[in-house]
Amino acid sequence: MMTRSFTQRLQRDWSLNKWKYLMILPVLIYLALFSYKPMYGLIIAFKDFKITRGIMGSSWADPWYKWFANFVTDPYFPRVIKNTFLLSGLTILFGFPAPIILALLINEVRNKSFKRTVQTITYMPYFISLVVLCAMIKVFSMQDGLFSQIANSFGGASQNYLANPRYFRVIYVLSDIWQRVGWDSIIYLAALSAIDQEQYEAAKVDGANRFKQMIYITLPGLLPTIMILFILRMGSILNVGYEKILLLYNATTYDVADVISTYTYRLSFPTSGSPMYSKSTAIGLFNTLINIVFLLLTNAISKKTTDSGLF
Amino acid sequence: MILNGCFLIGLCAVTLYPIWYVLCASFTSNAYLVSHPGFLIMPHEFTLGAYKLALTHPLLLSGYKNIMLVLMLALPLNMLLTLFAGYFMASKKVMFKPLIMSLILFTMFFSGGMIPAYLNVRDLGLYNTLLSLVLPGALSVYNAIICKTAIEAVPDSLKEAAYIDGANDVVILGRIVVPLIKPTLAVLLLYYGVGHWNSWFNASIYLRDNDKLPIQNIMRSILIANSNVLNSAAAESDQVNQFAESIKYATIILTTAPILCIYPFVQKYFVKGVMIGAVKG
Amino acid sequence: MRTQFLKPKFLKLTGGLMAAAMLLAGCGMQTATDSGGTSGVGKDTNAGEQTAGGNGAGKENTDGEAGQEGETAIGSISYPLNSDKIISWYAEGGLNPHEKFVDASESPFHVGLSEQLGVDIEWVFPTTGANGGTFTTTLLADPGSLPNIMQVYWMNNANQYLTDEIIWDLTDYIQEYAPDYYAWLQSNPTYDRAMKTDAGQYYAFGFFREDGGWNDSYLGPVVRQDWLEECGLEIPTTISEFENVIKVFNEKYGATFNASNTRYREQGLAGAFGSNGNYALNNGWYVEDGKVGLSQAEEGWHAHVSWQNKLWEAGLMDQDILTEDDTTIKDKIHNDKCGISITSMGQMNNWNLEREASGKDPVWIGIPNPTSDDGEIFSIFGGPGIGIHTVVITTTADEETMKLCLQMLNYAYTEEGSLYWNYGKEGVSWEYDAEGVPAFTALVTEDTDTDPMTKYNGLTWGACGIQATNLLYLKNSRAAIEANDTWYYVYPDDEAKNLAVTSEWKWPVGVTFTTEEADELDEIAQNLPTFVEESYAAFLTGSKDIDDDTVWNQYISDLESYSLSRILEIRQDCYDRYLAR
Repeated sequence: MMTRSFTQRLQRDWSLNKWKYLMILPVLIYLALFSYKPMYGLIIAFKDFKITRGIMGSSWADPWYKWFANFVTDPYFPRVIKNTFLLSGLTILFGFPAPIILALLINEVRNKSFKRTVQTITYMPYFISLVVLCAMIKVFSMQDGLFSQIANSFGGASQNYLANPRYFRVIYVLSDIWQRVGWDSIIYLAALSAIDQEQYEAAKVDGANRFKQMIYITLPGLLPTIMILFILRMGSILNVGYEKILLLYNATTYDVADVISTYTYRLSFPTSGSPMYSKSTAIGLFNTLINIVFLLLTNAISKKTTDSGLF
Repeated sequence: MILNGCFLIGLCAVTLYPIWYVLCASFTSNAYLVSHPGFLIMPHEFTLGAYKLALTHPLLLSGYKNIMLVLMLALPLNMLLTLFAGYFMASKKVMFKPLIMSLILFTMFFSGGMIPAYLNVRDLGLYNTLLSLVLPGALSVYNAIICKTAIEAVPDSLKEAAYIDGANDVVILGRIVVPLIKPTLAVLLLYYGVGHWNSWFNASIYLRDNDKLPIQNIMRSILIANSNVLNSAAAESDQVNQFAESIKYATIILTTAPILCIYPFVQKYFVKGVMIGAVKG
Repeated sequence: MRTQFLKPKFLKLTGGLMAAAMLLAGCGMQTATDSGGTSGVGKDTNAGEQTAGGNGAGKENTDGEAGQEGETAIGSISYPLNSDKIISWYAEGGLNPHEKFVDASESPFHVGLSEQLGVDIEWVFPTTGANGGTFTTTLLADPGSLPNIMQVYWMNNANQYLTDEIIWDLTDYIQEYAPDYYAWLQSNPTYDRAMKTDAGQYYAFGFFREDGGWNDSYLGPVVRQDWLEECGLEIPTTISEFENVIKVFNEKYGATFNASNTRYREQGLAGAFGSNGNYALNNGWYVEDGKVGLSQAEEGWHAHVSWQNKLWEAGLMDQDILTEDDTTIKDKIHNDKCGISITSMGQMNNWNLEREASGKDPVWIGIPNPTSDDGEIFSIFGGPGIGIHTVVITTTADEETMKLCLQMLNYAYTEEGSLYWNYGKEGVSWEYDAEGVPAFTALVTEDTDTDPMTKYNGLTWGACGIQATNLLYLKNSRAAIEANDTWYYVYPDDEAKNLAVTSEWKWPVGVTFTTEEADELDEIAQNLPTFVEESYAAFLTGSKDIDDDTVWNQYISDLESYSLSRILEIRQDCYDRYLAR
């Protein structure tokens, strides 16, 4: 009885939705090849992987957590963990609210052409590639560079700002905001435009000033968008982009700039010696698992407190 | 109100100045740059020399050609997969939707990591082909969610009317949904396009021939790795010396200008185009 | 005239030093990315005979089967080989096509080599902007498709590659298929020792200097002569005098002490502080009286870095020094922001040429490596002529292909092939001059690109082959060769002592770890160089105070947590085995 109805349901579903299934098929094939197949490669985190012997031929690590233990007892472990959380945390702390604030400010502008100009200009840095951005930072940070000149005009001394560990985080976070704030504000502006205008009219009638309108209408209207983006952001808390750091760091700033991803990069593609594929994959897995924990936690908290969540 | 205006003007100035500085510096003689560190408001000792030298780089042309090829191959694929995934996720009453959606979303948060991905590319025989820059990352699940949110906003009545007229899902997607979510598609196209344009890391590990490298990798070798390539591209060694710093600025302008010229035309779609919602609507 | 600026007074040194230096295989050819310096030589052309003799002797020595085939074929292979195979050939560095070419198909040397050998070659190089070593590891990720011939820096880990069957053990084939190379190795026990494993397996083709590379010191301090004169200063010889020049230049011109980061790390001024340099290439590993040590764990280095830190704090050292390279430093060199530096012959040469091109006098000259104030010097940058570049044949070549590769590689060690590798095609890029010495034609001498000879030859920087001393003369200016002599002859009258400071302290090129050692080092040793490098940066910039004993002691004990003792132990064993070969 159950089986029959199941087959029937199956048939009905297919006749109704076959085009949908056909459409999703290429997506699934793609995911199978480029997302799920590499996951099989995660096995090497539990093996003494030798490239010449392949994944199957390599012997199992003994004990199975050998490479995880190796990472945790690594002298670099505390440092990369600390730096990853710090850089990521600072980027979220300052970089996450920035576009929301910008969107609110832009939203307050009534002059259409001014609004457009502000938008055009603030979007611009997003289109500057990371390579170019880092090259600009490098040139500006030289002892005779722009940053030194600015510092000079405020009575500071000339120095190479990238060779001073104190400034690395500032440069990293500020350049990130500079590059992304305009672009990231778009999604909030979109959400703002979807807020029912009648609510504002009603609020005006009630005598609420613009600030009160912002607090009581605009922000609650934005909240679902904010929460979803926040959950997504928390889900990648340990994914501090190694591309930017690789382009910026040097011996003076390893101490503050070395993060999990740059460390795995160095293990995987060392300039000399053998690549440590097993260890680097183990660290990658560790990284992913922590991300997922953060994602689920944030999602749960968000659902409890604001009633909006990703799942 | 005025305060807000002033703040935004200030912000624009801070945003623009570095770009303006680079532009001015690219037209300024190298000697002036080195001997007069400081703020540049206008180009000094105007010269096009840096551009002439930068353009003699033997790999610049192939770099542009390769990124164009990548964009031409990748963007249609990106858009197609994103639309399919978005449409499927937005559809209702599909038996296996929860299962398939979890399969898709799972990849957003869980991946094999750098080495398995690298070995996979080699396994699939994509190593040292431009396809290695096209296929991995052909679908961004995040973008698919944006697409799904947009499709959900299309009134069901339109789709149902088409069903009744005998249209299948492919026709509905192409004839009804796509025209209605054009702004979103424009933004997604830009997301993908900028992503491809700016990426360099994959090319640095997946390619082994210089003449296959996309433009950012060439830029990187000029701007960051400081390989000596430009030294010999110049006719005279003193010429290089003369332009050493300004060549960098000229190169920055050369790679950034194309994309800066395009985006204002798409800009009107931006705000209409991106909405994001929970994955279970 | 070339011979005019040779220094006859060192003629006597030649033979003895050469022989002695050969007993020590030091490290020290420049790395692939090094576009600037090459070894300069201040020796007499007579030495050429020795080498030619060595080569010739090698041929005579080659006995065996080949001998029976008649005189023309004694131990030799006739080229072109006329094979229809396509051989893929990777070079991590040193053999890249001239930067003006998009790829090897435009490069006369690479195209010509295929013609000379009669074999099609598919060239592979690291992509532009990529780090050579990193690029090699990305290739390794797929051992099944490695290029057939690979020029890499694998010697220390050779046993690993042999055990994993990534590269061919050439022992059974080398005599028959690479007779000229084999003969060259037999002509000198030092070479032979360096080019095989502890177990006596041959696996690599090396890079050698024709003259033994006995005064190979392409790097050292340089100064602006015009400023010295304007300030009424003598050429500094001690570290205090050196420091004084920095100070005076700073007061008078606002200039600072500056050098490109790699150049500085290759040696710094370590010798004056009783430290062994070469922090760049060998990460500071050295040997003294048969004992292996790490420079950065010792008092000499402490004093050295403490001195640098004082310069830094006083604003006498350029703050961009940690990130500058040979290209970026030129802006400062040519705009009077630096008057005393450390660089290579090739770079000094370029600085002078570039000044001349813009109508200024060539003012840069080499000055001696400064000694401590009581006239002592511990080490300078220099070393015997065996390169760390070696060429191996991978197992992607089947046995027949491997034999073909052997013959192809052997070519560089034949008389004819050596000329091609050093100068290119006769009548095209070079001709014999009136004295019967090869000289480049106008094709090269009138080419204004940087290092134009690299378009036609393959041995300017180091690849498999024997680099002709004459090539170094042709490449470098007189000032550069004089600079090299100045740097190298710390004790011109005491060759044993000179040898001790230039090369005796170096970690040898051809040592090989056992597979177990290599595996263990992979697990424990990879972070030490990074830690040392960043500690140096912290001490230099003062973010950690090196003169504070607690900080220094903490640093020393931190080195232990990076397994220093165990690594030293492994390296010591390995070194002892090498000596016992």
